[in-house]
Parts: sequence; C-alpha cells; structure tokens
Amino acid sequence: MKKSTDVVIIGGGIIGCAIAYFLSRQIKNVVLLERRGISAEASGANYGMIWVQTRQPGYDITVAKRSLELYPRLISEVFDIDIEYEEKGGMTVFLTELERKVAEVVLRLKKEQGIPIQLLDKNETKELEPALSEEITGSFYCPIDTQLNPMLTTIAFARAAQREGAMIYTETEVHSIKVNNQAVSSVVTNRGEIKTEVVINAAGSWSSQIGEMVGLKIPVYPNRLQSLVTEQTPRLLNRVIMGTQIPKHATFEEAMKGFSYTRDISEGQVSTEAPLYKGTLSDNSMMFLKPTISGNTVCGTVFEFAGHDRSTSYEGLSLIASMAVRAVPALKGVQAIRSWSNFDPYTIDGMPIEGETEIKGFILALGHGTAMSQGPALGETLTEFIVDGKPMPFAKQTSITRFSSLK
Amino acid sequence: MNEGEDIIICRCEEVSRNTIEDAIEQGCDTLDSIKRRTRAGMGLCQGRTCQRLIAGLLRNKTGKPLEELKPPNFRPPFRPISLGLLAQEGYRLRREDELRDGGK
Repeated sequence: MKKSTDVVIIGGGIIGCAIAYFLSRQIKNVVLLERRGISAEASGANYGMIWVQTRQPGYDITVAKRSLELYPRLISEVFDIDIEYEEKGGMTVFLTELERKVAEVVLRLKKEQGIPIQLLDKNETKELEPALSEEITGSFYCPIDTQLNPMLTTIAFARAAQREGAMIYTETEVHSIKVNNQAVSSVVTNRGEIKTEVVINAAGSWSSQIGEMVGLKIPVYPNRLQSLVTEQTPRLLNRVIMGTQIPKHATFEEAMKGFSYTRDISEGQVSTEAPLYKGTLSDNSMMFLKPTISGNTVCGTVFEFAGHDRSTSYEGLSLIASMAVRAVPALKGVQAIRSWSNFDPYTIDGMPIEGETEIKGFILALGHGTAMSQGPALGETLTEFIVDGKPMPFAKQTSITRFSSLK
Repeated sequence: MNEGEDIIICRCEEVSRNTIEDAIEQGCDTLDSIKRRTRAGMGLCQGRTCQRLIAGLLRNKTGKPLEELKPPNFRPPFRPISLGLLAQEGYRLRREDELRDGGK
C-alpha cells in the first residue's frame, strides 16, 4: 500500500466511490479504503432509486434533482458498465380511502415544493400498472423518478475513480486514525500506515466507529432493513411501487405524518442516544416493489434497530411477502429465492451529516438514507469544498454542529 | 472441451466462463465481487452448482488457495418458497396489530 497520500476516503459504498471519482479528477493522490468489497454493504442492498416525490424541501430536493442531471452525463461519458438506469417514473400506491384523502392535501404541498407529481385515481393507476390489486384506491405518480442498479452504479463510480488515478484498496480495514494537534496525520490499517492530512469518513452505518477513532461522537445508527428477491418472471410491474406507512386506523393528522419522510429534531424532543422504533415489526413496515431489468422483483421492507446483526427473520420476510401479494396478487405464485438485510445509516432527523469537524482534516460524508440520489451531488460539492474551499451548500441542515444542543 | 471454447458456468443466470474470467482480470478477486459484477450465483439455485466452479476459476487465475476463498453468505429461504405461502404468517401478524389498534 502507498505510504502517503493527499486524501483518504474510508468506505467503498456509493458515497465513498462517488467522492473518489469527483475528487480524483482534481487531486492526484486519492486513496479509498474499504473493509470488505466495493458495494458489499448498504450500497449493494440498496433499492436503487432516485426518487423526487418523497423528498423534502431544501437540501433533499435540490440534491436529488442535481443527481438526476448528473447521471445521464456520467452514463454517456464516464461509466464503462451498464448501470440499468431507467427513467420510468415512480408510484406510491394507496390501499385505503384515508390514504387517498390525505394525498389530496399532500398533493398541494408537493406541487408548491416544485415536485412534478400527479394524483391518479384507481383506473388511471391500473392503466399504468395493470398487475396492481383491485384494492388500490389511487396513487401518486412522479414521472421523473428513476431507478438504477445500486451495486453496478457503485462499481461504475469505483472504476471511473481508478481511471482518474484513485487507488482503491479492498479488504482493508482501518484500525486507528492518528491525530496531531487536533489535525489528522495518518490512518493505520491491517495493510500498514498511510500518511494523510485529509480523511473522509464515508463508512455509512459504521461511521460512528470511525468517529470514535478521533474522539468524535457521531449520532448515526444502523437501521436494519430486510428485503427479499423473487425468481425471474415476465415483467409484472413497469416501475418502482411503494406503499405509505399509514396504519389502517390512523387519524387524518397521523396519516399526514406518514407522508413525511424526515423527522423533526427540535430541542428536547430527542436525544442522541440510539433510537428505537415504537410498536411491532408490522408497525414499522412499508411495502416496496422494484421490478429489475433481469426480471427479478425486489420486495421490502421492515425496519428495526438490531445493531449490525445481518440476519433476516421469518417474521420480517413473511410481513414483506404479505405486503407484496396484497398489492400485486399475481406475486402469490412467484418464488422467493433470497433474502438479505442491510444497514441504513440512520440519523435522528433523517438528514445526512456532511462537511468539516472540530478535528482539522476529518471530514464527514455519512448518514445518507437515499444515497443513490445523494452520492453524485455530494461528490461534486465535497470536491469543491476540499479543492477550492467553497462552503458546503445547506451546511446548516447537514453540519454535525446541528446536534451540539442535544444531550 | 476444447481449449478456449466458452461454456456456461452459472446455468441459472447463463453466465459464461469467459465473462467470469474477464471479471477476474478486471480485478474481482473474491467470490462475492464476481457475483456482484456478473450475476453468477444470483439465480434460482443461489450458486449451489456454480460456486465451486467459480472458486476453481478464481484459484487458477489468481493463485489464491481454495481455502482462502470466502463463499458468499447463504440466506433464507434455503429452498425457493412462494410469496403466497410466506405471506400467511405476515397476514396473521398484521391482523394482530389491527385488532390492537381497532379498539382505540
């Protein structure tokens, strides 16, 4: 391994690999260290969506739209493998009258936020997706929502970074980070020590462990998502279909919250202790179906906090199957062939943690819950920050300092 | 088989030996990374047939001993199971929650 470099990126997921690509176009010596393999963790198990319809105003929408501009250019000019990019739109389906009624209110808000979203009735929904159940009461449809293969996208970024001169070391685990006078000086790995003045922590749900190496508490937690995949079939669905997280007997106000995908961190409301979900696994489930180019259907999901336990459960997989067959009855006879769990890097407000810290040269790029839509945009802005000193956009929303008032 | 002739290694996903050897030449040096790159082992049998063949190709190309090659994780279900059958327990769990919430 190299003895010294300008920048060390820790983590071979979409975030680390996208940063490696954009950065290595400007800086000669970029090193990426990955404990397992490229896209071996959450970026390999990710649902591969660039969805605008579920995004919140500010950082969230801006970043997703920027990535939607970047991908077509990367695909035509940079990537040397097919990332299965499909601009087919995305659909959130409703199974109850309550969901459809709430959607009418949400529609106005989304339109004000500049999201091109349509509220479809049952017939319009079934026209786009004939396999959906008769139970469906309507849907949100957003034509600019896009899907891709997350594993191949991450690999494509890694390969592009290598062509720009970045060095990528897989099966390389970081053991410690040396700090001198509150500034990063080197990274110690199982393959030796590498001198550097800049370390980018892009270790996803393991980022807090990397933070501990420099004495920094980073409030990011592994949120375990379970998924399963079916055998290949003739295509049943034309695009990604999601459900809402609204309980059957919810009030209107509760149902409105079910359409919001970020969380409020007003002071006193939460602490930076590891969070817990309320209720049963079934309360913390959301229907997700993705038809892939290969003909498999990816089905999700249930959320829970279980540390970094990689197992899947009968309870979780059966809930996923029940949501899938309820929405698409034709899936009943289709075989599930594999399941997996992955660790979404959960932050208490649902926003990533990006940018500089009190330790000079220790930079954060973590907590990305929709990383396929955040990675490319972050690669650009973080490169401008490191190379030109240009401030990070939306720093107030994304800086780690927003947690300083929390206990 | 003739020297240089291509053959299918992963029958479920129809991945050929040349495709796998290309992936190894491009730097995939673990069974897991070959799977991610080529889809070999992602099909109906989940690599039960092809993983040993791929391990052999990887050993021949890289010189890594077989015992050092970590197999990809095996995950449930251990045999394919229909979503309809798997869903039964999920429906039961959901009904329990709905009965609990229905009273409020």
